[in-house]
Amino acid sequence: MVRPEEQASSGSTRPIRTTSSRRLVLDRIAAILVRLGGAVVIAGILGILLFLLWEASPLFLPSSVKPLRSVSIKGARALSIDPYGELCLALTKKGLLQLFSWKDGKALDVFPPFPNWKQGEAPIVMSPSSPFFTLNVGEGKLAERSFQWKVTFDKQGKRIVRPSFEKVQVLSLDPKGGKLRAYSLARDSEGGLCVAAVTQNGKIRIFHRSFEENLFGDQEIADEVSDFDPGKGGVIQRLIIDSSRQNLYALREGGILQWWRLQENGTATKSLKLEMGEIRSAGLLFGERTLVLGDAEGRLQAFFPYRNQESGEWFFTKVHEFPKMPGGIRSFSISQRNKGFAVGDDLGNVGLYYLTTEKRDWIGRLGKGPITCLALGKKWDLLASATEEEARISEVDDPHPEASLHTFFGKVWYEDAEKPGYVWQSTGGTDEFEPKLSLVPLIFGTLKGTFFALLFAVPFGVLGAMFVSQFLHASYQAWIKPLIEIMASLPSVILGFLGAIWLAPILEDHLIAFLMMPVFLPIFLIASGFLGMRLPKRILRRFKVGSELFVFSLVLLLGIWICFLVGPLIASLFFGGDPVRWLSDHWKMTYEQRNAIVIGIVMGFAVIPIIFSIAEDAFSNVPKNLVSGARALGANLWQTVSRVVFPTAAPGVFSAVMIGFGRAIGETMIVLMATGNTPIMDPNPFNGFRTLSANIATEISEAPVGGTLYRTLFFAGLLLFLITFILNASADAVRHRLQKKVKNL
Amino acid sequence: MAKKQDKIGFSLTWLCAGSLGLCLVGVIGLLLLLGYQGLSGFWPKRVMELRLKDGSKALGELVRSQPEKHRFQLKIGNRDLYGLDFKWFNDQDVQERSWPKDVVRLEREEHGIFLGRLKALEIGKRILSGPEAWEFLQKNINGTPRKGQASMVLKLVDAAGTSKEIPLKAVLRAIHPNQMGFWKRLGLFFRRNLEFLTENPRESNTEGGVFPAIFGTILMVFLMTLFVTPLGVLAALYLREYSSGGWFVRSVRVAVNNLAGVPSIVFGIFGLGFFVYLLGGSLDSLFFSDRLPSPTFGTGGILWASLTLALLTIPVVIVATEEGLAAVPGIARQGSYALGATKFETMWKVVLPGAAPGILTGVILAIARAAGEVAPLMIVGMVKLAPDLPVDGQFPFIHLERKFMHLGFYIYDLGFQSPNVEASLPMVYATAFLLVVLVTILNLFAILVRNRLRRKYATSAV
Repeated sequence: MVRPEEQASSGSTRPIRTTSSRRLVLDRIAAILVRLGGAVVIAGILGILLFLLWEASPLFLPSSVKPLRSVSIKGARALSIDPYGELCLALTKKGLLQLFSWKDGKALDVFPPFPNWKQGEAPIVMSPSSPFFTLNVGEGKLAERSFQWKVTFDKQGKRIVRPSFEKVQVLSLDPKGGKLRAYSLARDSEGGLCVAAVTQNGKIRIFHRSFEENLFGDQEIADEVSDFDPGKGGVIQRLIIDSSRQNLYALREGGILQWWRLQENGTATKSLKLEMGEIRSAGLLFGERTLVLGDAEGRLQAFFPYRNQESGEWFFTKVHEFPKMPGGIRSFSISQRNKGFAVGDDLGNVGLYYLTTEKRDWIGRLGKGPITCLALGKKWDLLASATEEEARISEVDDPHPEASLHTFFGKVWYEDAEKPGYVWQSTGGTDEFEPKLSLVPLIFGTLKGTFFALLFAVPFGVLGAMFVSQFLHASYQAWIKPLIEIMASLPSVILGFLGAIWLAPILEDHLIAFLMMPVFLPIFLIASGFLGMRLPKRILRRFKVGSELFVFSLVLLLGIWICFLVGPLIASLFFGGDPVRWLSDHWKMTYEQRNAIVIGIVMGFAVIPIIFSIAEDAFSNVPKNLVSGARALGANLWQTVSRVVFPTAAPGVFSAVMIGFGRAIGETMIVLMATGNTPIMDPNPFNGFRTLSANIATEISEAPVGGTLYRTLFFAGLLLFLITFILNASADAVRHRLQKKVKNL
Repeated sequence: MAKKQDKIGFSLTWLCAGSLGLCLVGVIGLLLLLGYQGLSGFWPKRVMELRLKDGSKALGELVRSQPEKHRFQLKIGNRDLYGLDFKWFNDQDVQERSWPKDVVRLEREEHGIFLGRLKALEIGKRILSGPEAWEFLQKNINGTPRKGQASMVLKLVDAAGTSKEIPLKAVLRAIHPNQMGFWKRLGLFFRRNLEFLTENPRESNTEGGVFPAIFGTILMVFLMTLFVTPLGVLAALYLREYSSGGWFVRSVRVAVNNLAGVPSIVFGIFGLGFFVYLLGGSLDSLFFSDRLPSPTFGTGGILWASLTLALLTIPVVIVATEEGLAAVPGIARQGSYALGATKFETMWKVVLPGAAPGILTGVILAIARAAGEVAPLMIVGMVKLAPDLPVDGQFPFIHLERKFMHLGFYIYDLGFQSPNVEASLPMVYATAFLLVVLVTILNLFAILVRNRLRRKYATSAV
């Protein structure tokens, strides 16, 4: 506080003027400092929102493709680019391979992949997925040659990238020399060659060549051949086989798409009528589970087989349809990293598509005339395209193709799934695993947990607050309120721990007792209340207003004890002694030890004090003259409370519930510890769930910075921020309006 | 009619009383449960010897019994011999229970406790036995043989008679649990409590103490207080005393109030993205580029954790400070101005001292919240076992980039990620109790300060 002698001394011993100017400067500086500090804090608070937005926004930003360089090259039919985007290998219609650098367009090498090839023969074909060329040599033979981009370093440590070619493989599919009508070739992960071909007699021949090193280090070739009958139907025009030799697709005359599941014993098959025009391109996307077809009118559709888990029956259907390209599909290339692909059309347009989002991430013109071939970079970062006249390399900026509002909130039909669904599964075992990022199961879990918590917390919080503010003697209030504040301050990690380690096993053992309580305890309380009324007036008069609280606490404990006593009896009478087993036998309900009821009790316990304190405020703010007026008019205590106090304070109670809701939505540790954390959508209260907040806590440490999962988790955080902020702000507004209203009463 | 109304009214009143009663029972019950479970782990228990019907014998401390299932669980210890610490026994298999006096209980550096009987003590070629051996053992506990001195080995047998040799230096404590009187037990109980508070954890956190976690929590909260107090007070001063009001300030106040309700995990990811990756990453590339790619500040650490918690708790401090500022009567300010003080002088000498209890309340509440908060810290800097404290004798003495241990995270980690959950439960309960006591004391203190503040102004304000 102000010390008078200091004031006096500064006033009397020094000349006022100089001190005054120094003081004024100090005052000015302090004002600036305070404003600055205030501004920094406020900016920091707003900064949180902005930062979350900034981290999450790339998920939804449009992608772009920026042409970098173009090189003049005539009649390119296939392209391949190295992982660094320095060089390009182009196959021309003359059957020559041209190796050139994007930097200056200088040709580094020109040579034929198959030396004896002559123009006019069957064309050389390059696979859209892995780098190899194939040639139908005729007489039942196929030639194959594959290459790899090899990276070496010279003496100065400079990087040199060159394609390295393997030997030409000649595969004799039909030793009798019959003509091959259609064929498809794939290379498996061990370098083996898988071929499916339609032989002269109309059978489909599956051929597999594997290379094994023998003891002397020489390569040994092992061929494996099997045939099967494709059955009746149109002539097979095109075949596509996957490298695991499990799925074979055929386009047959009359617009029929047929699929075979090639297995050791027998083949399952399904066929369907295409709603497409002339098929121009066909290819399997990364992971080889989905077939994408493009037709002459620019339509693009995706198909995959899936299996019914229960019956084991296979199905094959159209799963996705994509936005049409303006011109007919001309060229097609798949990503080696995700479920994306690129198509080029007759009008020089190129489109970048993503399978699961069914979205076209980008479309634009990359040349005059038809796009004859395309190649996507290894990291979904580069795109090479060519027209008859030139080849062009462009930079792809599409960091999060798998993210869209539809993947986050809509039903998505993922590969291998029976039907579209909401799935959260961010990481998987293999490279080909596609992250499934639906936030719906997490939101469902959040709401489920919140619902059960509020179911428990709202009645207790509101009724308890009503009791404290209206019925309890002031001398008791002084220590009950701090107790509730302590309840509010209990660390959630402790509540979660007790819920999981202490409560969950008890709940499992005494399920019936717990389920009895909500019915039995109120009845027991009221009954014992009426019994208590019978006590002589002499004794009753001794109690202060509200001291029934302590009596009822004891009564409550007695009631709980009775529940625990009776519970096992009921369990053995009606549920065969084991209600958990009974549930799964009769209702097919899974019982997880850490379930929604545990969460309801524990999180409810955390939310009660919040609801309590705000509701208590609202009840206490009801003007005393209203209460006295009601009492004076002859209303009893309860009538006053239910007809006067509660309606006046109702908006405040509502805002208390909203704030409790906000707290429950964001609670992390309790749900992290006391649920199974499985992201399933099951309304069953005996099953677990996973919430948005627990999901962030479990997954953020493993999410690569800047990746889709990382940003998705930030997006989830942003959602939480916005939901709670809006909830709290509107609760605040409700409360303020109430305060104003009450003031005017 | 009125009678019926009355009846409904009464029963609803009773329901209200019951609701509140359940809350009270819940809070008090929870505190008692934690207290009992937390402290009972330190109480030296008697060791029971079982003779089973199949003739085998077992020694163990009773952990819990389930009379309705006719079984009970013993902590049998001797993990190195049996591979597990706990075992269930059925009542029907037991022939006889006894509490033999000669059972010894050793706390060891590894493999948990040993329960059995002491046969002899070998000191080189000298062999002690009986009370002599026990005396020597008590005098030389955890003793390493001096140079040239022969090794000291305990020869023991377990309940089944399997012999076991344990070097004396691996023994941390030896007691005869069935010979101790109440006062001896009480003494050991307090000693164990003290060890819990002052020692490092052993055996992947299942034994020993939690000192590093206590230290980490306190240091982190202390750092956070350094950030949050000046900033919170400045912001509150600005909002209440220096700003010109208007819709902007009103909306900022609403924002600050609501920030308190934003889930802590959101602050956690903000801390991870902004402090750790953005700020920490840039610091690394500017000053610690020689250590890259292993990050220095670009990974979770105590500095980032305390900054994140400062952000989380700043609304608490702002709101409480504003309340404190508002409670300073206008007359005091006007008096100061009338005496010729500038605004700064009025703030510094009149308003802030008057608001000090409010500020203190805010800071204490912030500390209490920070001490119990785990979710944001999980992602910005805590580890289950930090080999080094963030403060040591090496320059620059306080290592803000280091990871640290925290009581709350310790509970989560030990209770859920530990390989031997059952064995670590007493530790978890004890830690939980410690944390609850800490947080509760802080809160009670804040409540006390606030009540005094209110009373003061209720009487002084005119």
